[in-house]
Amino acid sequence: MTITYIARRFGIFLLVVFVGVTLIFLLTRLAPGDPIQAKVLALEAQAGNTGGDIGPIVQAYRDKFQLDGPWHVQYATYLSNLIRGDLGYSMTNYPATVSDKISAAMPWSIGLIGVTTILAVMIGSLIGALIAWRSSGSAAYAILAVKITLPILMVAAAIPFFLLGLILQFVLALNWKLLPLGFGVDPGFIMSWNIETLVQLVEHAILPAASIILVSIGVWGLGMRAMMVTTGGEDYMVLGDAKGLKERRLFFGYAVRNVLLPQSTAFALALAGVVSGQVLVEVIFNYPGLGLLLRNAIGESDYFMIQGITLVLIFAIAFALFIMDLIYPFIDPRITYKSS
Amino acid sequence: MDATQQQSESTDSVSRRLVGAVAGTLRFARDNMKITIGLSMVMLIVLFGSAGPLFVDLENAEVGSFRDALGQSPSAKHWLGTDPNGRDMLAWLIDATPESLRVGILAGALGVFFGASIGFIAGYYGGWIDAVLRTFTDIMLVIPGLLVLIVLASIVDVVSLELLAVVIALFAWMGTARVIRAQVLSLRERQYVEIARLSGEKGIYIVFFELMPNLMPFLLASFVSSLIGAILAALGLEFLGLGATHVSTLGNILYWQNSYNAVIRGMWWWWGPPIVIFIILFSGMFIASIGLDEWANPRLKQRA
Repeated sequence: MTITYIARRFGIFLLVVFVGVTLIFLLTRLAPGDPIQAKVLALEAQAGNTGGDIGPIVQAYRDKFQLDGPWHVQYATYLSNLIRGDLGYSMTNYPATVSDKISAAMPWSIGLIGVTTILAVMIGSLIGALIAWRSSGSAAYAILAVKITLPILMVAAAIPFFLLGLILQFVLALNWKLLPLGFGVDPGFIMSWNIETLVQLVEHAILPAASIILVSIGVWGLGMRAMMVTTGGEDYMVLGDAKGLKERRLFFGYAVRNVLLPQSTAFALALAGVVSGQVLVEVIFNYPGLGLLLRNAIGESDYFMIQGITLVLIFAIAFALFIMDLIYPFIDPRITYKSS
Repeated sequence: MDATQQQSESTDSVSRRLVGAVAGTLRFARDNMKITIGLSMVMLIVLFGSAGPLFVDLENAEVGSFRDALGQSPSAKHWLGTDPNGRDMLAWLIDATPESLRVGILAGALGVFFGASIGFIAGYYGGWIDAVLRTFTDIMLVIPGLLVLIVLASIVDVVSLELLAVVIALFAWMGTARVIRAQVLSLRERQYVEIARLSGEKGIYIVFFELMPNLMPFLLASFVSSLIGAILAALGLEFLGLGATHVSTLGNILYWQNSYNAVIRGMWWWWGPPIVIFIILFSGMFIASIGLDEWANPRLKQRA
């Protein structure tokens, strides 16, 4: 892994964040209406305080974001606020800053997405690879059993996470009472470093996680299968077979190994969709992550919170992809030499 | 049977090519089970939305239609029950389904148009234009469109489904652009394009009359993918209470059931049927898109 490789990847990371940040600036400023004035007015109206003078509040916001200045000054102010990590104050829970709220919710979302993604990619890839595998050995019947799941994968892959979540919530939590209906832990439970807390956390995470994993297995399975089919005819597979390699070695060391890279590229492209999907799952299960925070912010018209959460998620996705780019050369040593 | 090849061999008459393409599509739909199964599932939902009003009075979908039957489970009178405001669920569903499809089709079509234009320009002109457009496309792919849409929808009052569709289309073009760019890159080096260029044809002519017919399968496959993405984005926005909230769509039904805690109150007839519609619709489109991908690129086809 060379310095230029890392530098180039870091440049792309910055570019993604820059485009995302700029896009949000452009779209919100091009849109008709003044978001700040409109939001402050709406808040005042909600509070039944319509008689009061909200001029100074609006003006304070306008000054903070330089809204009276020309657009490039606004843009520069916006960028410099972001670079300093200043996402502003929550408009509805005033003393709380957007960053505080996000930091509190972040561990829940990252924990959920980390575990679900790793499990889904591993299980899905294995199933997909087995479906595409033509076995002559002793495992033939076991593989046949896996192949039958193909139509199920095709249907599962197309269902939005949160719709499956609704079904699971109804059947497993409400009717069979196997698992809690939602929330991160039981209401009123105080977390500490003990087994009880761990059990609570796992128990409450199972349903949200399952709704993501079951769908994602289909997505990764189908992708893996499609790519495995193309490796089947490669010369090195024929050679490996002719050499009399064990089927297990041929499967993992020759076929799966070569599909890992395109599979991880596909993963990079799917990440944005997975994150959006998880937001909705958290809403269904009242799971205390960024998704729920976002839903509540939408309900309260807390514009800075909505914008802040989106910016943080764009940053997080870009950062995750940057880390993956650094891992690529270990998955496929050829990457490093593919310079410029 | 290679439809792409058939088309390129057809003679110069544009109309004959068009007819050939349509006939080829029909023939292939018959031969390709995935496309047929997928499209039938989609048609089932289209039929539900379009033929439904012949059997059910859509006015029953209005709030307070049945003040004597609030939040009732399915019965002979209300096949899918009612919501706590006395709306007949079946009528509400029939009312909402075409609207959800309309947003998806509009946004999907616009998305394919944007994507194809960018893909064409990038692939055909190459050079720095290609480098810029390709980088932009790749970057847009990793930006979560739904979240940016949420920011936008939280300040703009989305008044119509058409506006919603246009906004969604801004994030539904990247897949198409990638596919079309790759195809144009390989097509533009073909001899018939070379000949057209040598005989003095303009770039636009070459794009529309020499390249486009060969790209039809890819455009169709892209359209279905774009459609899935668009319906999904609309659903996500509506579920969060954004978008064109005053129009009945399937996403709005799910938003209201969530606000009324229908799951915990055991009102399965409120959220169950929209989910069934979505599952049939999404799996149908997904299976069709796999079939269309295989048609566009026969190498993907699994050996039996």
